[in-house]
Amino acid sequence: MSAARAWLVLALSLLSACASAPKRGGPRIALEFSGSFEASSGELERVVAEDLEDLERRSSPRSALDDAAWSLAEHFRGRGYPQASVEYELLEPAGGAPRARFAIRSGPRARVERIAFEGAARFERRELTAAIGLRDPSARGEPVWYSERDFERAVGALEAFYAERGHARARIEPPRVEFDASGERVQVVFGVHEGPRYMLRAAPSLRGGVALLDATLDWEGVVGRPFTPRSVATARGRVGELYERSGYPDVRIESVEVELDESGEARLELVVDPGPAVRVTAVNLTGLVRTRESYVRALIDLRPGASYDVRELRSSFSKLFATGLFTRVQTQLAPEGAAERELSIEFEEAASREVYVEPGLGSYEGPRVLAGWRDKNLFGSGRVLRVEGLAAELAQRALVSLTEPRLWGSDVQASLSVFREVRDEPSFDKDERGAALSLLRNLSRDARAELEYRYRRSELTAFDINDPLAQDELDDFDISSLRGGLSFDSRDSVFTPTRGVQTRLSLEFAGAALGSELDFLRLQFSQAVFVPLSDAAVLAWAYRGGVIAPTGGTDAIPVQERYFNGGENSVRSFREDRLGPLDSTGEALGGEAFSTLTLELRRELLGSLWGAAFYDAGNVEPRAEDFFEFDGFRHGLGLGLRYALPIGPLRLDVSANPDPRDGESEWVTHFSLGMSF
Amino acid sequence: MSAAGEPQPARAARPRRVLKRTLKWALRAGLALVLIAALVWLTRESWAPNVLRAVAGPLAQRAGYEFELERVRGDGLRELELLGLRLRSVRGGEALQSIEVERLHLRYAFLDAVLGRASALERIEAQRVRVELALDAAPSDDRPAGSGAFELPAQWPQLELSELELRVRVDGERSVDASGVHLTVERDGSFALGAPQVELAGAWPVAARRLALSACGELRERLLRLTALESSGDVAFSDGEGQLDLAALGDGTLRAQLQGAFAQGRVAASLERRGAQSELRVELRELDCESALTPFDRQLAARLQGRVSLEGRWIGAGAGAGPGSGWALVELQRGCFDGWRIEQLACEGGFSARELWLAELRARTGDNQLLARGVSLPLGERASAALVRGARGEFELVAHDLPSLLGVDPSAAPPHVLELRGALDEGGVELSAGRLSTTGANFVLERGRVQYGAGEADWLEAAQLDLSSRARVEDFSRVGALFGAPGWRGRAAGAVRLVGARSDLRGELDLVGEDVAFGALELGNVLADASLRRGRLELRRLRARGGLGELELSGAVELDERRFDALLVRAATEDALTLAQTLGLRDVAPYLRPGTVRLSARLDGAWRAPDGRLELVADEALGYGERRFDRAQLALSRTGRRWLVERLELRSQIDQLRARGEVLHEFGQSAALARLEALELLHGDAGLALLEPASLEFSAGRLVISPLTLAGSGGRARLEAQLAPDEMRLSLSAGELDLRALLGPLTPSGLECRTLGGELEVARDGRGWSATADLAAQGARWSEVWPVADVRLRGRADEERLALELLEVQGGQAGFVELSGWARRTAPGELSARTVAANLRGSARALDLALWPWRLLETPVELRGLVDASVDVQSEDGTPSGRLQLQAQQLELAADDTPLRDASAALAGMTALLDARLAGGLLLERFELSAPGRVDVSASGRLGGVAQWLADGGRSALSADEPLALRARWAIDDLRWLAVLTPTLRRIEGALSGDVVVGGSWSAPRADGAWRWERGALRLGVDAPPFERIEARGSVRGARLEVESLSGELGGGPFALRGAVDFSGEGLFDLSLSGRELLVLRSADLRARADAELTLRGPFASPTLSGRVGARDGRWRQRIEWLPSAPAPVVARRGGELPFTIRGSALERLNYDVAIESAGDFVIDTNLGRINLRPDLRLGGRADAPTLEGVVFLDPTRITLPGSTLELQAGTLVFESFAPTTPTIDITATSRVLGYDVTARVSGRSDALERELSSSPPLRSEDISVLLLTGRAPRDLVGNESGIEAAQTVILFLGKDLLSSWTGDDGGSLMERLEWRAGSDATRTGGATAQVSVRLTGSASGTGSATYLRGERDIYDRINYGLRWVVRLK
Repeated sequence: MSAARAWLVLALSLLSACASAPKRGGPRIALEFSGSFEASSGELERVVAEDLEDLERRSSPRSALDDAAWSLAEHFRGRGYPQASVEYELLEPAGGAPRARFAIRSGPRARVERIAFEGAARFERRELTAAIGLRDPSARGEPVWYSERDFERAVGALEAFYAERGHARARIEPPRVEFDASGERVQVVFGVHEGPRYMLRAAPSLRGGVALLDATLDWEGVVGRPFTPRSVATARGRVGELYERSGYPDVRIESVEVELDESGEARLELVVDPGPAVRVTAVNLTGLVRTRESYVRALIDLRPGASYDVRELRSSFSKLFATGLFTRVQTQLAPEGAAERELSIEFEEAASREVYVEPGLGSYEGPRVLAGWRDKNLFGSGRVLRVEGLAAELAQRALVSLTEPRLWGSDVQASLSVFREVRDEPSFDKDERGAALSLLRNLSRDARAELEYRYRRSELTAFDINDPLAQDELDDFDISSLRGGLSFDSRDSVFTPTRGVQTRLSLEFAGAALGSELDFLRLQFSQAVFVPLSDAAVLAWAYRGGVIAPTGGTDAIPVQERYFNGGENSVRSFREDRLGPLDSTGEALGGEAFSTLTLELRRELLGSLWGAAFYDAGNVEPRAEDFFEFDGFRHGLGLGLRYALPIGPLRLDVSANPDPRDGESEWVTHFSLGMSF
Repeated sequence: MSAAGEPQPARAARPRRVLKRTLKWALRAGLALVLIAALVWLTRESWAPNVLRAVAGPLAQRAGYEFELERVRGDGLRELELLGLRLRSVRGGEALQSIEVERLHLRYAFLDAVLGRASALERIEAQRVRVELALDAAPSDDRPAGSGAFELPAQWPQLELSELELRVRVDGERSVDASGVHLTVERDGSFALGAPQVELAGAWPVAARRLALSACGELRERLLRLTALESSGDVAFSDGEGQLDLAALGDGTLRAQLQGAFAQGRVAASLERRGAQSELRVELRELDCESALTPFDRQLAARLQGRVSLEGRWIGAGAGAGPGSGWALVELQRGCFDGWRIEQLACEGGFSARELWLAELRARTGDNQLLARGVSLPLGERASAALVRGARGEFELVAHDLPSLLGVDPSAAPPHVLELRGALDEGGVELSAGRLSTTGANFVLERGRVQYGAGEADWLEAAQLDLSSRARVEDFSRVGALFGAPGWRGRAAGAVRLVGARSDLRGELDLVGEDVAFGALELGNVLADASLRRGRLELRRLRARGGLGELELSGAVELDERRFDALLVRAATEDALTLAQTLGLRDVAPYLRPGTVRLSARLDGAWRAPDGRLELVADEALGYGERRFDRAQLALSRTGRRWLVERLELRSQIDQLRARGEVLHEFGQSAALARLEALELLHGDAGLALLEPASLEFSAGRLVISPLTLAGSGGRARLEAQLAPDEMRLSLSAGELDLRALLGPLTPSGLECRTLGGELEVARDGRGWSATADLAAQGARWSEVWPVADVRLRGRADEERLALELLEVQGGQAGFVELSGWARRTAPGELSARTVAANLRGSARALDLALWPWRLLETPVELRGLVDASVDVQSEDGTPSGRLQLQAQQLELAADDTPLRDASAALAGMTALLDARLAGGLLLERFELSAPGRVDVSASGRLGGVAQWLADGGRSALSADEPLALRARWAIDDLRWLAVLTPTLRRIEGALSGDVVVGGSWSAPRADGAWRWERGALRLGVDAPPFERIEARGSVRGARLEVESLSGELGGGPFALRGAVDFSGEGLFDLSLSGRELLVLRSADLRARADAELTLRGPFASPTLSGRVGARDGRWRQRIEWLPSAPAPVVARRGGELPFTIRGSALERLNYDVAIESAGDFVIDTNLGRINLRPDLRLGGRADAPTLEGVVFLDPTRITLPGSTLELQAGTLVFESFAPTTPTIDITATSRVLGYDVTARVSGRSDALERELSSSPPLRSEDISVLLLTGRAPRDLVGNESGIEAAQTVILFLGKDLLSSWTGDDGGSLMERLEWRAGSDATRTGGATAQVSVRLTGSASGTGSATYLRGERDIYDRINYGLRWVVRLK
């Protein structure tokens, strides 16, 4: 399985590499570089590749070489060789392939010794140096090499820096550059005329609008702050948004006057043309073929007779588009200029049925093939019917599910599914079949609640555990359970989060009252927190814990319902499921409670390559009542590399077990995809 | 039925009867009509007016009015129309002064009127009514007393008053005028009033003067009820409603209510007046202060902003605010007073005519809170002093944001809290507690009391302070930022106590500071122990010891008298230069070096002119030019105007100066008299000493040096001078003088003069100047660039004649020069060869040019070699004649600059020979310049008119008819040196050879020859691309330069030029150029090449460049930021000049007629995509003002953003002749993201571009940016940057190299391909499942197949990947 996984990873890497490779062809002429310089031929070939790519098309190949020589000289100038020059020569031997010869004279490399900002009083030198994207030359570390282009561009960057901090009339003189006699040291001096710092002390004055509306405008965050170019945009945005929310779809900000006086005060005046106050008299739908009109109308917030509110239009649109049933949802208010208008919504339905086949690889299941059929708009009601089958090396599954996206017109999504699954776990094989009914509701953008009833018949078809107690619990069960859960997810990215929190809490009850042969109460909690330390570093930690407590007539939880720990996504100093109680043959017995704590520092190394240092700790308790003792923790310390792919990172983790016991490895390597949490 | 036999006559009589009957009825009807008409006429014109006049006139007179009526119409039964009705008060004591109605129309029911029923009057219509009311009119004694009953009719007549002018005189100073008033009252009592122009005249206590009123309501059941009341103009009131209890008026009471919208808020008021007692209740809700106050007090309105609410009650007598008292609760939200931001102010209290009593006042500005309780303030006091002195109560100030209170930058302020509690009592202010705590600082007010002075006028000046505080500051920089003094750093602890009146303040200061610094001025550890008593500051000790030095003060300062009293100052620094620069002493700094300075002084007397003694010692701290003094010492004392310089000493390694004397000088005066008692000068072993005391007298512009006689081992010198603006005499006599000893520290660096002897006298007065010199110097040179030589100079000079008897320079290896001659002015006017008779004869032998200071000529190269020359030129009649001979060997150009050094090496080792005679013209007998194998130039012949031209100093033109006869031949192997000597040429290379014979005259030269330029290169400027690989040949025939062939490369692109330039007459160009892929422009971001077919033809005065230029292989690399940058700057940028503009040279008259077309790709290569340009332009006009017209088309393309793909529709850049550098741009791009149809448009002139982002359904532009960039639906945010930040986060991670690699040219952006879903199920360990798909092939929607790369975290916490192939069916 490891080999198969490695092959898949390799294939994905190659795919990524192919996509990453330059799409333009390389030069079709042999290149020679001579002279004294510090660069590899490969690097220089990449520099000239673009100039020489259409060499055949040029009527004069020397013009292409001339451009290439210029690019080479620019390349060196940009790396700190201000006197770099390149001569070129085109050699066309009779009967031989043409060759281009570049003679490079790089000259001395100039190191910036000092960057000064004369006249800068408000900001410190290091702030201004950072603003132009350079490091302070006086600080320890890599030298700052002189590039004329960088310093020319710094003028604009500095002016923008000042403007963003309220100095709307700051002016930066072109840099004065002073070389020493050797040409190897340079001092750069910018003349800075900061001008006053403009503050927007009073609320922008509005002309032409509706006074009562204007009075409700909130200028928090704008007034009392420095005036920047963004202040104008924000003021425009706030006024326009308020009017559009208040029934004025045609509002126009006709002009924005900015007045800056010498005392440092900025004043804004906006001239508003509100247009007519609009009431929506009717909502007309066109283009619906399969989809029922009633289903669509239930998703539209903007009701006939109501005053126009752009938020309602947006939310309607979002809901309609989120159904996935339409490729195009076009809204239009007509007639233009009238105070009473009709809202027309034109739809273009998407293909709603699909057949799919998905060969692939699972990090546990191994090679797998998934196939299915899906109708996203069953009977035009927006319901989703899915029939899916999976065949994998270690698992087989069949599933039929029906999803109602808006149960009885509410925001609750209901889903009914019937399934059967056969799965080979490390210590046992199981065969489960059953049905589930789940209800799901988004409480906010980040939070959701769910309730699920699940009935399943769980059978153990093979059992490798050599443990008498476990053998006693070996049986087939009908499990009927009710589970409720809450989750909150504010991460900025599903697959490579850099900030945010993910929290999940669920409680599951199974008992005779529900017709279950197994009585238990299961509580699970997980939380992951991601904190950006800088643009290139993220500190993340996560806790996952669960406890399943036998209740009623059940004395112990059978192995197929127990928790296991260890592996690529939990405590990484252990192989899959190997953390926790083992039988005499070394098979994992699982437990009724577990905890996993992970602390990971992720940092960008080079481009898409990230590094990680992590610490994992986790345990498995045989009995639920031992959960809160939090003992028996095992640890893992490790380092890892991640290469970012669009579907998540390619991951290599090496974790050390600081306290290995008999039969446990001191080092464990995981080669996988996706973040561990 | 009649039978056929009945008689006929009966039939004939019937028509007659009918006719007769008809006539009879007609007569009756006519009579009736006449009667009716007569009756109508009678009632209208006679009866009704007469009756009315008879009744109304006496009635009016009884009421005290004069009655006039011009005309009455109407029948009197149903209606009456009164024209020209006037009522005017006769007694003058009535409120109603007069009424004038131009037309009054009454309609009524006659019978009801007769029966006296109130409902008889049905309609009253009045037009153009003028009413005058006088509310201050004194009631006349005989006026009947009112009954007090007030009853409204149950049914109103329909009333319509139009064009009503109303003038209400309130009192002698105030009045209200209304014009254009329209009033209608319906029969049910409902009324509408419109008064478009109401003006307040006179001394109203409000600033508002004009308003327009409109109201409607009803008059019913003894109530005047307003259902709508609006006003605009200076006082904008809207949505008003209210009522007036008219029934109450009958009882002598007044009850009125009014509410409505005013100043963006709501106003409600009720007034009840019963007898002399009035009660006014007012409720204001969230009024905009500025709008609300502007009508009343514009100055206050400008100072106070925010939203104010007020709930108050006033009870008093009369209508004014004089007597009575009230209570009010005032709240101000998000306000601002005089720039002080007030988030919230709540105040509750009462007021009377004399006092304002604040039960509680809470104000919050920023994080600062002010609480006052039980404060009473006297009202009615104009003087602020009385107001403050009369205030009683407690207050408490808690501030967490002091900078905003102090008006300083809050960004750097540390967290802090200021707590101040106190009470205003009878005598002053008692501060019970005070504390300022912040990061690293703690100030505690231990005792505080301000006791007002007893006097009325000087109560504040005479106030007695008693303040005692302790301070502990761990970090001044934090505290300084708090008070807007960010430069302070360091730590300090101590106590301050101030007691007494301001004029007699006493205090104690005991402060110890560590590492205290202000900006770059590091004071170091500071110790201050001082006391203040009666304007006298006793500094027991003030010491600062820091990185820059040490300062210690002790003594006393009389602050009031501005005097020092035995103030001892001691200061020392190890780095005088840094200290001076830190203190900003720019005038002193040039003479200072980073050395040690110690100063001690004792000062007494006035600050500006203290007496005392000062000692200063500076070690290595002074310098002059390059000279540095090891030690400088000064000890002086001042008593009155006498400055006694006890010791002045300057000492460097080789120079030493010691002086002693005294100066008489008054502060502020320019005159001074210095007496030099002793002066010693020493330079190495050579020394000079003053033999007898000398004096120097300074006065305005005049310096007199009495004989200064110096002698010693450095020789002897005697100097006497008298220098003034209009007169100068200077006499120097030297013997064996070492000049360096005399100049001492002022000796210029490099000056050498072993001995100097002789006499020099210079004099100048009103008649002119004269000088005599007989000097001899051995081993002399002025500076290091000159060779050391023995110089002998003897001569005389005055305004008319210069006689150089001998100038002899014996420079050893540098050569020998000997010159003699004379010059005499022969004619007045400007000096020139024509106005001077002169003779110069001399020779130079074995001059080594390398040893002479060519560098002084500031040329980039030096000429080196050995030269022998002789000159013998005389000019008696203004025309020079004579002979010049020169022979040079080993000539070369030398340069330090590396490229110049390489170029000048080509000219090394040359020999030159010149033998010429001046005799009218220049007869060039022989000129040869050669370097074997590299340079071979020879010429001979005659150049007529040169001698005369030289006589004019080259100012006049050469005589055109002077003949030319010159033969020249040249063969130069390397032209690089030419660029060194030609600033306009950046680079020139190649070999140039040819020969020419020139004849004719200067005005019509004739040439005949041939030339060839091989392996050539030419570059005109830094920014211009170089011409290279030039191979050219041509000839010269007469005045025509033929280019037979010229080929080369411009930036690697080949070109060929041929044609001719004819210099005869006006001159004529006839050149044609063709090229391929010529480089036009190239910079770091831009490259432009072009094919060209151009001709340059026409006279020199106005040649024309025409043809075609085909742009190709162009590339403009431009980075476009994904995130929306700051909007365009406030000040729009103006376009500059076209790059083809030429000014200031002959080519500025060049005419353009060039078509600029597309001959290949011209690509804007951005990080988001490539855009292809196709120009179709024409360059016209003259070179000094070229025009560019036409269009540049942008081909449709796709721009891939992280979250979307923009389809760029065809765009255009239109260039118009009136604005060639500011094309009009129109580019539109569209996209569909998450169903939103997004349009991005850039349009307008390039110097004022408008960027517009719009979408359907509409989104805010920043949300559209987020949508385009992230492909995610924007959050519902209002105007902040959170959405942008979210986008930035996504882009930061996904962007970089991956983004461009995973997005192709045709498949849309990454975010369009990406789908993800998280949390649809719970994993085995309680986590959330997630699915991510990236579409690799196929479209995003529609039918057909597509391929996805999928990843998921399943319910077992495992990761599964797969390649999904999907067939979609409709």
